[in-house]
Amino acid sequence: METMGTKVPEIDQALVVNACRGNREAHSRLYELCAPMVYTLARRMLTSPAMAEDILQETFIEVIRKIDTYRGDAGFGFWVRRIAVNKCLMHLRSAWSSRRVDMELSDVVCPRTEGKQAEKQIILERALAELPETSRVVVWLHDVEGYTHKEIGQMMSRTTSFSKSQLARAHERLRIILSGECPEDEEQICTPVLKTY
Amino acid sequence: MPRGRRTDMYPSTEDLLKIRDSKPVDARAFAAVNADPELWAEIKRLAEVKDALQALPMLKPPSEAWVKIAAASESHPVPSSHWLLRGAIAATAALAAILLVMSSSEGPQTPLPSTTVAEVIGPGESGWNIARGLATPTYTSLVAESARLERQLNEIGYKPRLIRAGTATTITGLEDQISLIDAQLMYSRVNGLQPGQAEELQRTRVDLMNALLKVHHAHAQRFGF
Repeated sequence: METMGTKVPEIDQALVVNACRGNREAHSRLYELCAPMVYTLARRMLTSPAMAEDILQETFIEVIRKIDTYRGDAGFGFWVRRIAVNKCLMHLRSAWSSRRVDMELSDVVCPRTEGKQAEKQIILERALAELPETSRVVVWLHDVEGYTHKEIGQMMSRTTSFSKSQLARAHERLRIILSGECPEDEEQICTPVLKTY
Repeated sequence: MPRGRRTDMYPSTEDLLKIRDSKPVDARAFAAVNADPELWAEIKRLAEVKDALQALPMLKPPSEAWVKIAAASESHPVPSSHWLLRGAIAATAALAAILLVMSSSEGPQTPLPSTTVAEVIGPGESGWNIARGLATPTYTSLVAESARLERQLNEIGYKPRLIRAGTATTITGLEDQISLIDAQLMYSRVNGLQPGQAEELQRTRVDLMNALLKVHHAHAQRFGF
């Protein structure tokens, strides 16, 4: 599987072995290495910082508790990422998440990016956040994390075709939002971006 | 999606994405794309969006998250603060609704003394300082204490068979205040609060959690659940 977007860290096998033995320092080190990946993934998929923090906690509690079930088929980072993705999808299926709108994007820009590059990233972040949940999740998992349509379909308990059509819809909407075209019936999609920029 | 229909087979966005990702695509769709520079431009744009998404920066997790995880993983499963509070508020709302129905059906009762938030916390009292005897706990220790209290609260559970309306109001009030603190803490990263202010919020949260525990303990002793 391709490694893109939220960079999956390479984890030393000895560190995993120590963590399996219950070494707290090893747990802490694994967290240091994998937490940015998990948090970024959750923020992009769910947009809410509070929910992303929930995912971060739930993921690592599960990682620590179930680390002895890790069989080493894929890299440890990929195993952690899969747990995080499943947690995100579970949150999206829950009743609570549909009511959560506490999105804030002020802290999404890397401090090292400045000027136009930063502005472009903010616009893209906002456009991504404006997508319907399902479309956003699919475009992120496919275009950034590198999951195939088949894998996405399985994770979401849907078909491969569903994933393909959601990806197409996501890009169609992104094009509208990013270009500033604002058809009357989709005004609500475009307004936040146009108002700010 | 590109506008204008130039051939009999006009490719869909799905077709364009397949070409972008070098995946097999219907031959007629590919021929249509080959014949139309605008469609190639659209594929290029789709590829640029993908590149831009991949280039978005990694985000730094909240600094106090590991403390909570470490505390929770040492014992039994603990729901994170937001879920616990959601659960608490939902449970309280459900209890309030049950009480409303019960009170309307049972008629007048002997009034019990009510408990207020102010009584539980006490004027100017810092539950944390009194309970722990620490003059200036650090932010990290406050976060850990919050997690510990949440664990205790979780152990008690929300299973009372009967609860006075006054107590229910107190619980709801405390939980609302804790939710407010959580919201403030969440936005503090954006609003750029001073470390002292964030610490003060955490201290208040610990006090409120202590108060909430007291109410639940008192109720548990009175009614033995």
